[in-house]
Amino acid sequence: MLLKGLLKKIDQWLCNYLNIEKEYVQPNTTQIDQQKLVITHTLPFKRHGLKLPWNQFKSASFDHLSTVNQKKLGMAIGKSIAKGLVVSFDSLSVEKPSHEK
Amino acid sequence: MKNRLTQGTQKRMELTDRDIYTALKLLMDKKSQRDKIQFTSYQLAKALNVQHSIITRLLHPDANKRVCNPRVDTVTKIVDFFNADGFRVSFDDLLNGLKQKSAIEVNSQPIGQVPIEKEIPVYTFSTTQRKKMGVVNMKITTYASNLVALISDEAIPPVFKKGSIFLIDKKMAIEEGMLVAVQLSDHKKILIRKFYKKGSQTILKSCDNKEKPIVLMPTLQYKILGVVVQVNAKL
Repeated sequence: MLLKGLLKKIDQWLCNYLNIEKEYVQPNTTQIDQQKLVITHTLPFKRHGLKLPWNQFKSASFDHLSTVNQKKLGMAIGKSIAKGLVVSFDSLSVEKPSHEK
Repeated sequence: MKNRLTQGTQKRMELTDRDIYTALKLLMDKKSQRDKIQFTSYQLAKALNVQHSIITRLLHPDANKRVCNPRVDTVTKIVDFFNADGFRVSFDDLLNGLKQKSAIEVNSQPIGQVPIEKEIPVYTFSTTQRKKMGVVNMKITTYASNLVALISDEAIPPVFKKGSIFLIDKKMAIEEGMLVAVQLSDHKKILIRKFYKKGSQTILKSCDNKEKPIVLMPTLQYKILGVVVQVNAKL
């Protein structure tokens, strides 16, 4: 535990020094497996990649991703589902047309 | 920095866990049947001279806990063992079933194109009430002009919750594997289906396996509204 904490501190310090954008979760691949979307991702200092269904990944890790990685994830999810599909996660609301406002 | 700390020195295989898990389980079952005695993961680990935990993680019943990137030397040892034991198995046999392109890499996705914000009319999925609900200002990466949006009032598999907005390009040429919005005469709602061609037949498959595919026969009254180019998924 102590070593883990120490390694985490060293990683943080080095990433700050080198100006590397640090993310805790790094999604690797998306895949449709038995009609369910599955995300594989890695965590720092974890040896093996982790595989999670989309709902679990979304509630646990999605908000920790940078905007860039969220966009990339959306594109990968879209490609997993269908050809030429892009998935986005913007907050949208249905409004009156601008000429009616 | 993070990757250098986490990567081992041995080359790792990028596999889907279902392939090696399925293949290894099958081999062990076959050996148990042939020898008429249960061949366990402990015995396999001992025979391979590897830690028992390595084999149990390859064969874990819970897919989330299963190891999906075994080392090359581990796979080689498994292949060598079963070959020496009288089974004819190759490296490729163990990986058989791997759909190399089914996993999409996230990091390699290009996001160079700057999205443009466009006001797009929004409708419901109902085929009986074609009422325009309003407009949505959506960031899109396509320059297509003939776009319309549909807002779902129920969950659409595999990931789209109620309230997700489907952007339809009415003019795009339909290709195999694309999602399309289709209106059938005997359905009260517009359906989102994947477009396939099987010989001369056009088949529309749902992302939900419980729903039967629709074969577009000449006698069936239908209209393909367009290609689904973007979905703004409700989180």
